[in-house]
Amino acid sequence: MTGFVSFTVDNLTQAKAVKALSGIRFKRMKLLIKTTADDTILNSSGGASRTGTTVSSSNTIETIRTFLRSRYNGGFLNLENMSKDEILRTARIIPPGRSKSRSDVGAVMMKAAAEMFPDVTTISLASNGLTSLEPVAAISKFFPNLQNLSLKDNSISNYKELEYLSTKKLPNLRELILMGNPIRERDIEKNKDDIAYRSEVTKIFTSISILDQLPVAPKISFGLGNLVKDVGVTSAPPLPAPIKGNFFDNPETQSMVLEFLTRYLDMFDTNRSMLEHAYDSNATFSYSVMIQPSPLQKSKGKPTENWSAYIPQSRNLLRIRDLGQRTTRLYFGSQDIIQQGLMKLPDTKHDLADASKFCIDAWQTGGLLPAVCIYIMIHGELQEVRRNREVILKSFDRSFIIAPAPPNSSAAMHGWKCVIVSDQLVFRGYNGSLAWKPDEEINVTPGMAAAVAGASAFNNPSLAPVPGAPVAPQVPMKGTTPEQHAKAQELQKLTGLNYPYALQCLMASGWDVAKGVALTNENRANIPPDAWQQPSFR
Amino acid sequence: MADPIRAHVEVSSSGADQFVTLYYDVFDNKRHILNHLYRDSSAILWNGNAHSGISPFQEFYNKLPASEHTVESYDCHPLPSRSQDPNTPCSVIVNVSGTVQYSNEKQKRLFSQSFVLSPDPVNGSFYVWSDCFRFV
Repeated sequence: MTGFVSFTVDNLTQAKAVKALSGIRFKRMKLLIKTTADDTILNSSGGASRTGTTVSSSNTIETIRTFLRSRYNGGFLNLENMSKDEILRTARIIPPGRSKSRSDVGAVMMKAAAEMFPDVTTISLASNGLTSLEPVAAISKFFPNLQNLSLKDNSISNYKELEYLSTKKLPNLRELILMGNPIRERDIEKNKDDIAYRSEVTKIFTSISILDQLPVAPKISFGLGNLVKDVGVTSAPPLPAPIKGNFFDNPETQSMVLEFLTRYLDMFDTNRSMLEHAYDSNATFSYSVMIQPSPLQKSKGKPTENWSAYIPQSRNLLRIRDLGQRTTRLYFGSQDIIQQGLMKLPDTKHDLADASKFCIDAWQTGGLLPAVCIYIMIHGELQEVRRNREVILKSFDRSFIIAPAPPNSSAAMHGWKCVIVSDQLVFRGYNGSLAWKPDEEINVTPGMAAAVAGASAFNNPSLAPVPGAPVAPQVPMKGTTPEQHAKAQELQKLTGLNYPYALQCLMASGWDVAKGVALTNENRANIPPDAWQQPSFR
Repeated sequence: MADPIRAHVEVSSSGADQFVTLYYDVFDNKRHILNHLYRDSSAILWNGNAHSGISPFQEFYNKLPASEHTVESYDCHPLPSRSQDPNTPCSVIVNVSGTVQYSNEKQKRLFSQSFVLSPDPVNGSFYVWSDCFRFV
């Protein structure tokens, strides 16, 4: 049992006296007492009562958190021009890189940011008067997977000063901005071009593909790929096959699965009890927890996660050996699954708008169950929604086996084309989504098309497609409404996307065609070649 | 219990216990006999790469560096039987999570692997109907 209470005291002396009791035992439990800053303390900073070092440093961290909260938005941590920030100025916190700033302020800030926003991929440190990256070198420790970094309008004048965040430190950095630094402007003025400058920078940051908003010139390659890479770098080693993205055996599976998952996960987040109709009367559900911290959590030195809300029903068979326990932790039938299983799990939020946060493998399979079914494996992340609005990210793996909903079944009457036969869920510490990011996205063609072409086992007679399934993709996908089908065709005309990708795009943009067009245009460079309409070979 | 699936819990979960131990022991230490756990009809997906049956998969895993899997968690469900005969064993879906260390890499990777195990209609022994592996 864990819980917490917060109480307020009148002054620092009392606060210290209460805090000194931390660690005493109460009803066989250990009481941990921590001080947290509240607004009155924050606003009175610099006042006469701010003398205790412990409390004032916890105030400092709390102020930094408030500051970071005001600077974060959807993966982007905007730390521009920190010396002009009102929150920091009021608390007299001197930002990293400025004279008289505390040497650890950069590290404290990055550590707090990584705890609050583990999914940061982009940081801007523009206009901070930085002459070196040393004051912000902690970025590599707390955001080792950072993808985009702006250092615009600083005072860096020496290449050596960049090495605190080189590719060895940030192996996944993709984009870097150094415009407005003497290092660039001086070189360009001297040489009348930016060739030498760009060459120097890309020697330090070998992973970047965009420098100062322009693509980095492609390197000549000898086809040895990873074989000749520095072994010390934590880049992908030579495994005999590349990592590929989502797998679907055919576009029809893709559209059915995406429709099913979108509806299911949205309802899981917003109206979970209604999912009763999505399960077969003989369906099974169970979940288990992998409590070991993830590599990402370890790299950030995160404290061990508290899984106590999940452990009592976790069906990790490695630990649960007793048959009685194995039976009670497996939920049977829709009612049991909803009432005893799903409704007892914490509230969640799946960010379905960002497809990169999920990886889906799915195919149709006949001969396994009495009916042809679809096997789905989805890996991804969810937010645990807590009352204090704290963001707790967790990773999950979840397999579903779904079968066509029988006519007149409760599922069919509630609009489910498919009904769940088996649902198995694993929760684990947050590990981001880099593990399934496809290798060599630019050069290697087409995850999906190539995979399907080489996938005869997925199309062989014993794994027959659903009877009566449409073959030509222009026939409305099973599971799409006529309105959705029309929107997909409209988006196809407007963007040149093919039908399955048009559907996928619309799902990601909430079935809004205009948003779909914008999304396509924004991501044009990253859309695989097989997503576009091609002349038919049939 | 009258519930036909409930009756399969014991069989399926002890089958999963056996399979998980056996599979990773074979994969890590006796990979040359791994093919016996699959059939030509098995659907095998490795990080999005589809392998049509055991032969191409064998070609692939023979090139894979030596491995050491550590299983941290697994779970399984019995699946409804495709046969009307109550004595026919049912298929089982087994999901495994853990870490894998390849001999050429410094860092362990996290993996999630999901198997459907099915009884061979001829001799009744179970084989890998499908195998879906991902780094996660």
